[in-house]
Amino acid sequence: MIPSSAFNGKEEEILAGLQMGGPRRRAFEDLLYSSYQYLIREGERKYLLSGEDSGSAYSDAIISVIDNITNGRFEGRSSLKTYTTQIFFNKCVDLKRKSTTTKEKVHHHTYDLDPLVLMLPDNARNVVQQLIDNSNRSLLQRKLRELGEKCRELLLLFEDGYADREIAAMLSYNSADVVKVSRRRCLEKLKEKIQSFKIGYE
Amino acid sequence: MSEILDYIDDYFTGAMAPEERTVFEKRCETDKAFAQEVAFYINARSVIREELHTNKQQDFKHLAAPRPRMRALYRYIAAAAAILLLVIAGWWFTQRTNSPQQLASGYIQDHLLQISTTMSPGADSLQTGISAYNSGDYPLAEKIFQALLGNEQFKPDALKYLGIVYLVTKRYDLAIDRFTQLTALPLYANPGPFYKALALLKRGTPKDVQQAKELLLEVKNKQLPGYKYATDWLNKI
Repeated sequence: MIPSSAFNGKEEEILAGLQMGGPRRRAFEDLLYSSYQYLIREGERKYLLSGEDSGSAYSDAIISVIDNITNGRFEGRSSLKTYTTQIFFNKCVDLKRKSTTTKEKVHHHTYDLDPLVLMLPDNARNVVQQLIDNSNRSLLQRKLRELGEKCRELLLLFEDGYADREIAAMLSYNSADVVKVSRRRCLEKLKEKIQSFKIGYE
Repeated sequence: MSEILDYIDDYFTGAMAPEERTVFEKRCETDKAFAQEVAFYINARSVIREELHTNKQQDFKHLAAPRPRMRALYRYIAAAAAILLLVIAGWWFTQRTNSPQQLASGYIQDHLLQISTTMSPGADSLQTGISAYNSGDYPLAEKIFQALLGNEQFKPDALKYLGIVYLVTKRYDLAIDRFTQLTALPLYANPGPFYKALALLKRGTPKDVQQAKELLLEVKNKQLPGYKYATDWLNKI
């Protein structure tokens, strides 16, 4: 780990803001995004991507960087700028490969293992992954949109890496425990929607 | 049902003791209904994460949208402005630098290479000089006109033609000198200022052009010979 003085003032500010969490994190995400926005043009030039593709590779990269920072996976071995640039260029290569070969489509599922599945040991993972492959993902997407706004907000914040106590503060819940219970209830609701749809269908 | 979801959530949020985790993992392999619940949990969270990703991308797009577009617009405007400026500057430059000289050259080409000999009939020395001039024998013409300077009657014409000889042979200093002398003569319609302006424009230093302008203005105002050209040129220089 390199000392924090290796970052310039702005980088330090962004890192601290993202790690601090809470409602102010969003502003630092935007700041991070706008700091290296010039990379989009570099993606266009270096990898011959369209402006739109390069832009989407850039937001993907920023989302990954935020994810890694908030989950403590960014070790600070390089400056934030170098780190972001590296991730962005990797995304550009991925995108370029995706558009030039069709292989990606064939192996899409095996490439895109969910990080949660990876938490399971091999045998359990195989069983669960098979069930995931056979499940109706688009139905789940549809039903998620039918959930109430409050539930969706809660689930999205949790998935964004906010701790239950932070969500409690942001959405005015009494405590972290209430957030936890409510979040689980929302998932339950989603499951019920899927089940009732399946029963109706059958 | 809800308890199963809590149980699964505990596993994936890291709120489970190691021995319990092993039991959980074993159950995935053996209990199909349970594995189905786990698959739902993972799938649901994956779909939520995907939605989060899409939302964020859209938010960033809003953040990005105005900037690149504005930048692109600025780039185009700047490029267009630069090109326009170059064109205008180029046009202005050629106009400024070539125009006065070109105007003078054009006039000399059109009016001074051949001088009418019918104006003063008779085969006097002046006519011989003009003939020599018209046939391109400038040294002879120069000599004749030079000789005529001593004759008061022919002095104005001699000065004029001598100046013209110097003008077409590109000896502008001498031409200007002769036309200055001509200007000083008390003539009713003195062509001196116009010819002097012509010679100055041909010599073409910035100071010359300025002086030529003043002379042309005088020609114009006093309606001296050449005032039509003077008026025209003053608009162009």
